[in-house]
Amino acid sequence: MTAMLSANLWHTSMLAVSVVLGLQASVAPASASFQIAAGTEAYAAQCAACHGGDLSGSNHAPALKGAVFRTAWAEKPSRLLYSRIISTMPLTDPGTLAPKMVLDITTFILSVNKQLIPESGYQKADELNSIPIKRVD
Amino acid sequence: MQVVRIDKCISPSRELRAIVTRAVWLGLGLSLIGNSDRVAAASAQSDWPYFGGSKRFDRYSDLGQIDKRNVDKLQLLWTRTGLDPSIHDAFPDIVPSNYLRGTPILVDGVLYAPDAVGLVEAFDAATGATKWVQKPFAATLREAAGESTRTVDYWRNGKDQRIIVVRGEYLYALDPNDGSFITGFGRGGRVSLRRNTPDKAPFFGFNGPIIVGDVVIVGGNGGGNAGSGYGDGGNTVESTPEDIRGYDVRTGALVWTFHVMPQKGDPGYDSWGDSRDRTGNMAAWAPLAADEKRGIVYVPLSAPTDSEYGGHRPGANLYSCSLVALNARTGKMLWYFQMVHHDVWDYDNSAPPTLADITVNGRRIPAVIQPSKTGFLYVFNRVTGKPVWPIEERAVPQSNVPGEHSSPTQPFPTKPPAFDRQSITDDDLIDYTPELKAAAKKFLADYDAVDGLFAAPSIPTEGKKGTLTVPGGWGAGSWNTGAFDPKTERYYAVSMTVPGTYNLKKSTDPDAMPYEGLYAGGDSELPYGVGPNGLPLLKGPYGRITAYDMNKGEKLWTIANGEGPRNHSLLKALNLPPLGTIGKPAALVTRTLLFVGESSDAVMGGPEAGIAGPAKFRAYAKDTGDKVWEITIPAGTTGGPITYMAAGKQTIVVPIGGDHYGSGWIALALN
Repeated sequence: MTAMLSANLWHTSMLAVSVVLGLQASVAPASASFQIAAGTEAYAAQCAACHGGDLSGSNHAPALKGAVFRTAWAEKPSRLLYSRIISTMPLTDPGTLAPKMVLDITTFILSVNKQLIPESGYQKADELNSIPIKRVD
Repeated sequence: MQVVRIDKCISPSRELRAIVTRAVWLGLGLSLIGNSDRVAAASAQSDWPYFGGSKRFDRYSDLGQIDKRNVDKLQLLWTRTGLDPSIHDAFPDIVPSNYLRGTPILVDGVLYAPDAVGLVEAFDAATGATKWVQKPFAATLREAAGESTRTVDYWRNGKDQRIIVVRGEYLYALDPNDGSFITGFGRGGRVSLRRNTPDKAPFFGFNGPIIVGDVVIVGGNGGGNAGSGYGDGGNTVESTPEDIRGYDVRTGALVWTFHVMPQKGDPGYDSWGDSRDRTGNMAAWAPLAADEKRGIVYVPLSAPTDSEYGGHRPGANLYSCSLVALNARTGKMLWYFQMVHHDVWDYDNSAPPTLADITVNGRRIPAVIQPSKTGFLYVFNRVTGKPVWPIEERAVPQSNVPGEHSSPTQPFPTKPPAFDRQSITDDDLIDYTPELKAAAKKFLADYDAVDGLFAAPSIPTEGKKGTLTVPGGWGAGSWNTGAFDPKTERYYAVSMTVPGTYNLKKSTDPDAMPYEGLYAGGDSELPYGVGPNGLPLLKGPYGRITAYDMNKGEKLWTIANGEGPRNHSLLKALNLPPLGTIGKPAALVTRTLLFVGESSDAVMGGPEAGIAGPAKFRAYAKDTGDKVWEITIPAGTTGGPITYMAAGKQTIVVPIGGDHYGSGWIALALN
């Protein structure tokens, strides 16, 4: 098992948000920071219109961070979040996102909600099966 | 305080009045659909043949086994998960939304409903046991994934019968006996509903089909990619009108298209300036209703793109925000009425039209009642389109956003009075303590225009946050709002009070609209819309039920539905009465009772708004509004309650869902 994401990597993920908002991020698959960057970019393209650029939700979709996220997802396996996304999103055309993209988006959302991410990121959805989402304020 | 900039209000032109303010009887003639009487007869054999009780959308049943005296003996009869385990077993990554919209219909002792992924499930009305589950069109996650929709419809002609459902971007026909595809319908049992949009947007529609005679009528969205131009908060210039379409129930062939943007020669053709070729949306996303005997379908239409900025679309913008009556066989418009001209508030006709036969000043009137996000009921003779009570054009505030073209007037029904709050005056502010009132006044001072219902959206300035009004974009009324009792001729409006901000920013994208709406940073974090202390800005009730005498057009009573924030730390010591919980619960009217549950966090809100975890389901005396019974159910309601007789028992079934629970249907009956 690889080491879990540190506070530094959390900082890196936030930098990745900035990168995507301003510049095109370059994406390499084998590290958490690049995966989060890819997830940030995919989120901006596929999710932000309804869930908000800052994940704070809108009239059409719930927040994906903060108390709303904790209420919905705390103590549940991270895999459920992945499965929910791949089987219900985007709302207008569910089931059309590629598994790799969904894994990146899931990792990004987990990181925003201060969940520890392995340094090497997640290569397969199955790796999320036994990782519960922690209640982090 | 209400601020109306009278100096900028001008009288409506004669042309505008002529085009827009009157319902138009086009004299196209009504032709009875050949077999409509047969369909009506088939429907009469069922206790709940359509989502709305019937296609009149009255949500009424004359059943009376459950009444005021014994309602306290109602108990859980059965439960059923929102997705049959066979689907999850086949596709383990299917984790559906908890928003189970599917309200069942009942045909010959079998309930049919879209499940949590929109596949149709058939189950026994007495036991909830599975009869069959629709198979995905192909054995792939792509085909299995989906969203629940509000209803299916049923059609029969002799031995030929079928269940019709919209799922994803397809219209399906299924055999009611086993759920198999009717292969003679479209290609292998389905027809694509995709619209030809510039951005190749997928079709989606949650309101379900409605069959009138031999025609399946479909509304729904898909004029542009959601969030990027299809109306709500987008700024994409190009999008496509979301036309209403009729399909042959036997073959799936397209029979007609009603253009929600008028074509040359239609009334209102010139109400768009030069924006006709690039403006879209106007979908019927709320349920449709039908007068099956007369062969008329009633279609509630919504806002055009963009829903908060219309500088590119000068004019009234017909038929946006209109109720249109169509000949169901041909799609020809019989009449229309526009509730909001040149909408910049997202004030959709968000609720189903309800057909009601009423007696006004001694005259029997076949009426249709259209609730709106505005909080008004607009009532018409459903054959002629003439308002039952006058609807007046009144001057409204004008926008100061560069390039915007506010309508100088908007329609105001003189009767009935609005069913929810439409202003933010000093008297409307929360005042349960002097400190709360002071905080509300201070909060309000940050906004520069509080003009009531039609306060124009504005651009925030230094020190001011822009326009704040009520109803906000959520609206007062929605798909859940109406129920009508044909015996007493009373209408019940279920609504909520959620103010909204209407703020615009200049777009930085040269290819986008010049301005775009700023949806106030996450209503999920603002449970009652904007307000201080995590509390509502305004007084309750926040979720309410309003009863009307529709023969007089008068309110009878208003009650709070749910506890609301009365147990908030700043309110608890005050021992306030129930303040009403926001959300979208639907009503069911029976011989003596009015059933209304609480809404779900799968629909809107969350724990801060008192919408999480188990919820209440209540019965009120339908004549007085007195609460006579309540029960705790596992999660809030996500669709409409229905009732029918099965195995000798009057049974009530309602879909529920929530983050803590998942989703499912529950059935209640007397012990």
